[in-house]
Amino acid sequence: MTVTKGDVERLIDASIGAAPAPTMDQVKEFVTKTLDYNFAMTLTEPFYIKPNAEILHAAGKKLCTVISYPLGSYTHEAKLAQLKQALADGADECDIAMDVSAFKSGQYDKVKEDLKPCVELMGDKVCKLLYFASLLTEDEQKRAIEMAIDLGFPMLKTNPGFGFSTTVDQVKLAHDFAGDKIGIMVSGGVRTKDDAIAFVEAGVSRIATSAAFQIMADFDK
Amino acid sequence: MNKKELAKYIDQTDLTPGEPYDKITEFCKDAAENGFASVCILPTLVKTAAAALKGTDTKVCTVVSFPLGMDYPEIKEIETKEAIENGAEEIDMVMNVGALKGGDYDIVNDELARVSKACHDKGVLLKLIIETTLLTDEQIVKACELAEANGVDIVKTSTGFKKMLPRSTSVEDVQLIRAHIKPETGLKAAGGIRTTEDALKMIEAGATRIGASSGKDIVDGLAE
Repeated sequence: MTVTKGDVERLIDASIGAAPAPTMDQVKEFVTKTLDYNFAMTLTEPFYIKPNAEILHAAGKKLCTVISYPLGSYTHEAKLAQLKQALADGADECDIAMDVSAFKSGQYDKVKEDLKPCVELMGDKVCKLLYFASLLTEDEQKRAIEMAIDLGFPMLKTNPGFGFSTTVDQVKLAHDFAGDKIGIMVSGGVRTKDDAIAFVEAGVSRIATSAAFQIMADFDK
Repeated sequence: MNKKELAKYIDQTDLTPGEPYDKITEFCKDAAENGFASVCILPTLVKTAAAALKGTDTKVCTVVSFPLGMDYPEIKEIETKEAIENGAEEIDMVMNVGALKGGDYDIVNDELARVSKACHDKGVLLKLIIETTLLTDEQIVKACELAEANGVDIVKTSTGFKKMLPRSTSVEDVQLIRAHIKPETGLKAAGGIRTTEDALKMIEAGATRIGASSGKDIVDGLAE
C-alpha cells in the first residue's frame, strides 16, 4: 500500500521547532502558514495558545499544546494549573508528560496519581501521554503504555524531541504491545518524507514534527 | 583562591530528565561533601534533594519554567510556590525570552514581580535565567534592567539546554551583564562551563556563581 501525501498530512501535529524562544508574532506567522494545510493539529507552547487558537478556530482548525514539557519536570500543582489555563485559552488537545523521575524510581502509583486529574480535566478532548520511550527499557515502555491505557489516555507520544529521537522499533514495540487499545504519536526526529512513511508503516496514528512544511514539500518533488 | 573557596561558587547541576531518586540522593551527598553552594535539580526532585541535604550547608536549588520559559506569569508563580513548599531554597527561573524579544516587557515585569515576591516572602534566593545566547546585546541590557527593577538576586546567563542553544556562555556575556547590574547583584555563569580554567575566567569577568554538571572536576583542577 502506498502512503500518500494526504495520508501523512492528516496525521501531522505541526510545531514551529527551529526558532527557540519565538516572539508571539513569529508564532502567529507559523500558525497562519499551517492554515494552508490539512494537518491534524498545530502545536504551540502554553504562553502562545490564546491568540493562536482564535486564528486556528476561525479557520476550522485545531490547536494542541504541551504540558510539563519537554522534561516532564513540572510538579503536580504547576502541571494542573498549566493544563487548566491551556484549556481555558482554547487548546483542543494536550500532550502531557509523565513524571519520568518518579517512573524511573519505580514510583508508579505516584506517576498515576499525578496524571489522573489531568485526564479527568481533559473530558472528551484528546490527551496524549508523553512517556519518554528513549529513557525507558523495553519492560518500562510496556509498563508506561499499560498505565496510559489504564488512565484512559487515547494516545501516546513517544518522546519530546530536543535530541530524544524515536526509533521505528520503539513504535513497533508500542504497536505490538497495545494493538488498537491506544493511538501512537511518533515524536522526535521525524524530519523527512521517508521518516514519516516508515513510521506510518510501523503503525503510528499521528506524527509530531517541526519539519511539517518540508515533509509536505518532499512529496511534491 | 583555594579549592574550598572555589567550591562555594558552584551550583552543582543535574537537569537530565528521568534521573531516579536514589541517584539524586547520592549526587546531593557528594555535593555536600564537596562544599558546593547548591545542588541544582529539576522540580520533581526537590523533595529528594531537600531530604539528602538536610543539615548541610549546600542549598537546594531548582528551576522554574525550565527550559523553555514559555509559561504565563501566574503559572511560574504557582510552580515557584510549590517548589518552595517542597524545600527549594534557591529558584532559577527561565525568563519569557520570546516576550522580551518581542518587546512585551509587561509580561517580563509581571512574572518577575510575582516570582520575586513568592521567593522573598519565604527568604528564598531568586536567579533569573535570561538565555543570553538567544539575545542581542541590547536585549541582554534590557533583561538586566528588568531584573534589577524587580529585585532579582542573581542574573543567570543560560539554561545550558544545549539542544536549543547556538553556543556556550562566553566571558563577554558575563562582562556585559556585570556592567549593567548593581555591584551587589549576583551573576551566575552557566552553559558549557566544564573546566577550572573556564570557571576562573567567568569569576574574573564578574561571576559570583558557576552552574556546572562537573563541579568536582572544576574544583579538583585548581592548583593547591
